[in-house]
Amino acid sequence: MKLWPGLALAALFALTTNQALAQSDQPNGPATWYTFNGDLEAHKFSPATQITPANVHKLRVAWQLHTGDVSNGSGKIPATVWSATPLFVNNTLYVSTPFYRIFAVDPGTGKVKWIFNPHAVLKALTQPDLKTRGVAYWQSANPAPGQACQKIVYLGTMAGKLWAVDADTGKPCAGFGKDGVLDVNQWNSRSKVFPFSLLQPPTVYKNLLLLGWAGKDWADKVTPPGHVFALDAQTGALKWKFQPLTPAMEAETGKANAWTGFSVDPKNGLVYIPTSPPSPDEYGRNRLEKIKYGSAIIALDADTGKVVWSRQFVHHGLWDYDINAAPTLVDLNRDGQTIPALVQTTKMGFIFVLNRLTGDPIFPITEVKVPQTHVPGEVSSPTQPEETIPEPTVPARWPGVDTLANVIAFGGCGVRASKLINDGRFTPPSLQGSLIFPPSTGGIEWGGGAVDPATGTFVVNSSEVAQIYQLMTRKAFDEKTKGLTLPGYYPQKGSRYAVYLNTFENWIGMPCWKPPYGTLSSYDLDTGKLLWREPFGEVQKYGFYMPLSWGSVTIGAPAITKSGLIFIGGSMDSRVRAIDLKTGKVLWRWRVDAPAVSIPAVYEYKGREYVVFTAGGNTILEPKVSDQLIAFALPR
Amino acid sequence: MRIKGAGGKEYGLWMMVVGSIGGIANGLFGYFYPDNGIHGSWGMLGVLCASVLIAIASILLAGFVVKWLWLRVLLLVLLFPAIVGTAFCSFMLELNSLVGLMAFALLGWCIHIFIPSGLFARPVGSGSGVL
Repeated sequence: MKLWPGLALAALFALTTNQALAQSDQPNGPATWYTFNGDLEAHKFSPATQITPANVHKLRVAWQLHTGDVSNGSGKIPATVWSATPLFVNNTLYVSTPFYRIFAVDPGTGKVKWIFNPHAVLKALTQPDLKTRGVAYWQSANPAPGQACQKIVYLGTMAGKLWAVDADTGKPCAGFGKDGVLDVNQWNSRSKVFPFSLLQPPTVYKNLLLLGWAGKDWADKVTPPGHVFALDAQTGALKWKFQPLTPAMEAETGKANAWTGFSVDPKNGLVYIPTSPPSPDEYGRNRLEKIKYGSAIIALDADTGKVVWSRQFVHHGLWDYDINAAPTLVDLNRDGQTIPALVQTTKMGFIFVLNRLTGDPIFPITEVKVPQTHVPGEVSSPTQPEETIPEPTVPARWPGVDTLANVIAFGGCGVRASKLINDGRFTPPSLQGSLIFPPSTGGIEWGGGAVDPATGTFVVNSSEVAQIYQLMTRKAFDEKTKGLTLPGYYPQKGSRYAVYLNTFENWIGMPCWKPPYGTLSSYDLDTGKLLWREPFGEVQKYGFYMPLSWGSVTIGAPAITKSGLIFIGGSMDSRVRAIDLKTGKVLWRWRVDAPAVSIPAVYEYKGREYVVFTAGGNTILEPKVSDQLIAFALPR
Repeated sequence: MRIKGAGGKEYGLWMMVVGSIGGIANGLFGYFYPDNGIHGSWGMLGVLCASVLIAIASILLAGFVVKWLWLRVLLLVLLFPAIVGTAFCSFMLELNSLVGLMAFALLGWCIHIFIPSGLFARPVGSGSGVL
């Protein structure tokens, strides 16, 4: 595959980078995977057709690579969480590691072409673990022959450094920032609270890098405000900045940041920014005014950063319900009309389908009365937006106490459940303790869904988890923690209440609620109809695989191919799978070294189709980590 | 009451010995082989230990080291849940070969129990040779 076949195609260079990249993504053409989500529209779709439902059972390891960048957290280096999507572009596979190195790899053999090592600080500055979700790629629309950095790979670090390196050599681009690195923390007005962590790769559109950042949850009341930056792709110069909070709000709160991926509608020049709630996450006395850009999707003019429209999905957030995935942009066919749609998955399990030019709902969104808080000082929103088409991935009420878990707990699950408050969706945190279903872990996580843009078939994995949210007075928190950092206890410093968060499990770590714990669903987006839903993955505990009907909590997302296959890792059992898009039936599975908590990339190289996974693990799922990059292909 | 060995007639007991020793080999492989998804797990260690205990009990019975009837009956009673439990745990570990070996051992247990000459063959001092 050659994106830039040569000077003979110089006319093509007049196109924008995106247009050029998009050309290579057309059906019957070479299949690339040039962004975190496969393309700018977050389709996670490959036009590749070599691997089919009929032959996928023959899929075997084509190559694998161990980067060496892994830690289980037992030593001085924090545990690693590797959720990087490898990019296939420029005839090379690019992937970052949780130690913040870039590997450039031959896509056919797995042989390393070059490694870039910025010698990043390996400290868990904002997250409990070292994390990365990958790199971004840009190339000049008018490349200057013989000059370096006409193609650039970008890497962010937890400390807020953004590196730009030449895609062919791995050498830093001297013209970017200062000697190839930009300190994004220069724009952090509260860097003493925490640095901007660049865990999600920037979104590249034309000559812009669109950049959000991750922070630290549940730690402080007043935090850095969630500015989004647009940078010049070659120099790192700031082109525009989006501020979700007014200056008055910034004095009292913070965040409403965009820590996940963005989507871009190149045709209409719009970038879509999903945001988190303002801080602190579980108590909102300091932010009672309406903050419309928190927990929202915001459409910005990509050239100017001006808001075109926005829609909030959680009013006055008290649950850490970030809008956590780049929306999928797809054209739907309804009543003979083509509608430019945006599909926004959420932690609550709702799948909101909007007109991406106006923000208007395509399927109805209604404001539903929700349970109200009784916590002194708090004022919860009387209603929240909900949808019923497409059917949410998570039921409206928590499924109840599981008999087996309760028996093993000698009735403990039932006793605890009876003491917790649960009045259905959007039950607010309480001083007594609330049972939240789904909690901040989702529902649907940061991977979002995948779509076949030709058919409108949308596939998404989702988890069903119950957590305890309990607010604590400052005195009770101090007495409990005695100044130590205890698992599940978070200070929300400066706020009236701290918070205790924990998964509702029995003494052996078994969920106290009824399975399934994870599902995979397929929808027809044209009609909103649920095509199928199956428990997905397997829970593995102490080595034992639990029944298939239980499914597994998942992190990561699917990729789908034109030939009718879904490729997905993400489950606790450290397996990757191929699933029939029509039926949901598992057609192939393979054991990898750790849960593949990432989005796979599908590409064609020298006439052969590859599916590549990063199998790095996430200690939230399993105490199993790895540094395995593994590619599958059909035997030659 | 003490009993003496039935030698080559104790096919069922020897099947249990073979099954459990195969189980140990399988368990060692499962516990130590790094690329099987269950190595080093508590579940695999438990199955390995159970296989060892089943093997010891089976050998003691088959070799007629244990001659006290009450102890033989006790071991045989305990072996049933041990074999079934190990098979179930192996199933949960998706270690199908060990499930097969435990099924083989269970078949041996059934033969030993349900074929009359097997269980209480030729007790010492009974005079008749049959209990």
